[in-house]
Amino acid sequence: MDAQTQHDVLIERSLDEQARQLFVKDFRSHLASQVVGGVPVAYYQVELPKFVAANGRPPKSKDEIRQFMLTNPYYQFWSGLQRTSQEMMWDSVIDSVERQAPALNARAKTLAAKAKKSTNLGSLRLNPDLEIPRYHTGVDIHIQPGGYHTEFGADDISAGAIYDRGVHIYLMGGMGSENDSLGRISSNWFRLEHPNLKPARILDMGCTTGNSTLPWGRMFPKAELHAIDVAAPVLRYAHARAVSLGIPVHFSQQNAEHTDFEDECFDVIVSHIMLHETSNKALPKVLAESRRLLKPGGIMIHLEIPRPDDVFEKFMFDWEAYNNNEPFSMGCRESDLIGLAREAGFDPEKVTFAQADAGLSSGQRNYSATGFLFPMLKAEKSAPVSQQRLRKAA
Amino acid sequence: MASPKLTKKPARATAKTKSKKAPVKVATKVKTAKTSGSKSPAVALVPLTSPLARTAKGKRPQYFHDPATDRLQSMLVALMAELSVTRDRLDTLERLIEKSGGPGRKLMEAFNASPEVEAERAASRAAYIARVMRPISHELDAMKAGGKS
Repeated sequence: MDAQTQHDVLIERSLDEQARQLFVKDFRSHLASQVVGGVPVAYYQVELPKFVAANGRPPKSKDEIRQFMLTNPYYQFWSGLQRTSQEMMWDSVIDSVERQAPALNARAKTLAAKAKKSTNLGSLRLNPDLEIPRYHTGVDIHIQPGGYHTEFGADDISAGAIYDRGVHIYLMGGMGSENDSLGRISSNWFRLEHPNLKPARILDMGCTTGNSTLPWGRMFPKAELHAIDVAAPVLRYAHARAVSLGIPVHFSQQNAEHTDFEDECFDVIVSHIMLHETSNKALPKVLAESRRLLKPGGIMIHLEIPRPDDVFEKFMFDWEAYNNNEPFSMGCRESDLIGLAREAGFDPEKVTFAQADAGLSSGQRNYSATGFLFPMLKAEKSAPVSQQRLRKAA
Repeated sequence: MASPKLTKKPARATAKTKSKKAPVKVATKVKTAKTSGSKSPAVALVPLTSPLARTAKGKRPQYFHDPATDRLQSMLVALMAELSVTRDRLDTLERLIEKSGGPGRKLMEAFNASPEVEAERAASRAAYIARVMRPISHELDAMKAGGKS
């Protein structure tokens, strides 16, 4: 089934384009439900006994596992198929985007012009002088050709159009009809944890096409909602999409390491699987910037990629790092996020970690047989009068 | 609404595109820009100045001892996809013939599969994928049987 919510800048698919995209989606679903499950079998029943016989002990680390699994025929074949499916996913979407780009770009311009004349459709602020960080330009993240940032013409939204449709195929629709499950998870969790807080101003960092941003707007319709990203084409798309779906968001092209917002102007700062797409150097800066931007009593939530404890599962989740151009995902997964938040100046007692279940089916999970838990790094900026002020601000 | 006054610095000038490559004409079938809402005036198309990238930056891993095997594997899956596309198309045609007795391109492109038809197609695709992927399920079964089968 293909149940992606229609909006004004979502690509239309010709008969064959649609069939190709649905093939990739179903093929990936087959890999996830029927093939990847054989990798633990290859490990536990074939390779692990050999390793133990030769070394007299089980492997100590994921890297040790990787060394011998890379030559396991089953793992090789699955890896090759998984990689190929990712390449075909982008290719099948790029066909539609390339064909429609001139019209899509025009439509985005029209929607942006409409927003400019209105008082409640959000805004878009681009900065062509912004330096795209090395962790975006080094390799194309997720092997999306051109990454998030490449522009193929003036006023181009192609990267956003490719990403929004690609993500839907990537998780086989597992993120919902608007690819927004992570934003729903974080905003629902926030509301349950803080039923009395009514944030007046919210910032979503690394928003890409705004999929995770909009649930915050729906949850807190009176809040002023901001979202930033370093890449212009995805922001143009995000703005047009948000206008089309009727959620006002103020998008701006900024690096989360150092924004141009004033000190202490947000009640909530959130990001959704962004930290692992930065770098060792950038990550502490993002946390420090989050702290700077938060009002006293304000709350930071960074939702991140799953962090399994088991050494074999760690090896499995590393697949994305080695094969899908997510070079920092390993470093981020291994980093002490709580420690880094404390070093960034958050009160040690106000930094916590929670896990949220993504609710994916076995045909949507990719690497984990046991579930897909997204950890959330949460910190509150210490303040004497926080809660009253937040409530008043709303 | 104009950008809220949140910033430390004044907002800088907007959109200016840095295109490194010479403009290349991109074929497009789209002739008109649809705009949302009937009140908005039609806007001129905004064409690309270079073709969209098709290869991601970053080294592709090699999975097999012989790199030719990597290529063959990818080609095999691409063929699977094309056959799947053809099957979907044929399915459309057959259903249209049943319906009207006169299939044409226009009718085919306009054909909207109902949720029921899509569900049937998804089941058919899953069975087809399982057939082509049989060597792998065999390998897995053999591993599970401890190499005895």
